[in-house]
Amino acid sequence: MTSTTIVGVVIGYLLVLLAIGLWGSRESNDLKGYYVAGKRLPAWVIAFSSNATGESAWLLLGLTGMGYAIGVHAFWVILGEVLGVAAAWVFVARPFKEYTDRFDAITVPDYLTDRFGDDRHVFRFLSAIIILSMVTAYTAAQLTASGKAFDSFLGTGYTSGVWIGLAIVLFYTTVGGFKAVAYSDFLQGTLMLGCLVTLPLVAIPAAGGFAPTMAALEATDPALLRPMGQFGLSAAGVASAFGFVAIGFAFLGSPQLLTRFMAARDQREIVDGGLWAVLCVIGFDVGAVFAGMAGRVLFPSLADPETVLPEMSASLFPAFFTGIFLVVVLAAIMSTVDSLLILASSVVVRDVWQKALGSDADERRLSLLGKGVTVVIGGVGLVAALTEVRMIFYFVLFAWSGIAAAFTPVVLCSLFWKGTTRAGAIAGMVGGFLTTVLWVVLFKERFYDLYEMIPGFAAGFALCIGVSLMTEPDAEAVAELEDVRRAVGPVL
Amino acid sequence: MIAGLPVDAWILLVAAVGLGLTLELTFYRARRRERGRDRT
Repeated sequence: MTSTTIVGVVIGYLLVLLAIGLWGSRESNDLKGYYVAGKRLPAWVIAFSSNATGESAWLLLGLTGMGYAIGVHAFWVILGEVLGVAAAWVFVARPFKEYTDRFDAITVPDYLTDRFGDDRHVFRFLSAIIILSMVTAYTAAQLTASGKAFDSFLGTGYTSGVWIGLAIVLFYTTVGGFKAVAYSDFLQGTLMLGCLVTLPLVAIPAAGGFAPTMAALEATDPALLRPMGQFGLSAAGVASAFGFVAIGFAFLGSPQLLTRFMAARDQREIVDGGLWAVLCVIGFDVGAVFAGMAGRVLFPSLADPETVLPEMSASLFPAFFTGIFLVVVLAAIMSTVDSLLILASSVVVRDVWQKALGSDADERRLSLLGKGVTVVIGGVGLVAALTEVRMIFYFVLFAWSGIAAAFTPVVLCSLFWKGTTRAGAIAGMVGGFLTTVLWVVLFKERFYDLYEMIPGFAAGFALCIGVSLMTEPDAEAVAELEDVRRAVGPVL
Repeated sequence: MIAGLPVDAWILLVAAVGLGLTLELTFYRARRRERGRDRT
């Protein structure tokens, strides 16, 4: 009976997603429709879509697990993410939207190519390599989470869970395009917010109330209530806190999030969307960390902290709500996978096939090709997820930082510094990405496990600025930047 | 301690939520004011 209720809730949710896919299908027949929903999305959709994409299954399984494992030290993640989201909407969104509308750009490489007059399409090829490699890792991590979630809630087995998750995402993404992705993200983001606000409100009273929960945590391990955690105010503690804050910096320039700004109807939607986005991320993060902390008191001996949310939902709520929680975990996974797949498809079809290789295929054929590529990339992620099962948290943060370090320093320099040159931007992109990968492989363990995004960003900015200073910026690009600044006006 | 949570943890939590929210609210109010001026 219980299982029937849970399955019923899940099937209801999946049917809604399929309906959204069919609803979006009319606008997915050309590239602008398939990749940016014709640039007609309202504030509330881009806000929730951006956050749901940025957060992924890591929020529900990883961040609740961090609240469980390290307690108050996870507040640094909240600081980084709330600041990162706010800064992205306040500083980045409007000039980026202005630029991409002027260039009629529908991808981030489109923007970089036009911003720097890159006739050789270096940005397009580089972006394709970086995005495809990182998206495969990221998608595999999300599909791993899908397998774990289905198995943990419904006992489907890991492999079946991976297959089911991917099949649903591929359907509504390929049929409905970015419109279906964004509106399903809105639904998924709303569900995630509802779940993460409700969970601590139920779990903390179940653990005896706020003060008793904190007292129980202190009795378990006093470090759980210290901002610097088990390390204290040491180099390792600072590196750890700084690394957590840096997670939020990716919101400033990751292509899967910048796409939302491009897809907004106009500048007004961005002003309204920012407030939605910040309030939403506060609810996400504060809820997740406190839920994990309460979970530590309620279930003190979990072998895997990342299973605290499924464990709490199964124990604290009736079957219907357990089904809702499974849906929310799936929502977090799917809202990220759909956006990554469509991002990867866009760099292959729009950037490489149509623009760099000069295909003269009509829009309808290109859109069909885009859908085919979406399926192929999903298939690669599937193979990776079935052969390489790892900790979700580790895998997601690596891919998250790889994309962010490649794009964010370059995008920020291109928007705010007129001295940025094409050579500088290319150097920054390559340097940021390679530094992230090399840091993980060669240096991370030797430097207090410092999160790879920090050296990645440092190298990206240093190379972008350093090489730009040695080269001459294009006069036309400088004039355009000044014109964009005038059009956008002051920030505050 | 306030409600069982150390004061430094409360400070971090308030900063974590408040810095970004203040930035966003300042931006939002400035833009809304500008929009109101444009209408008149």
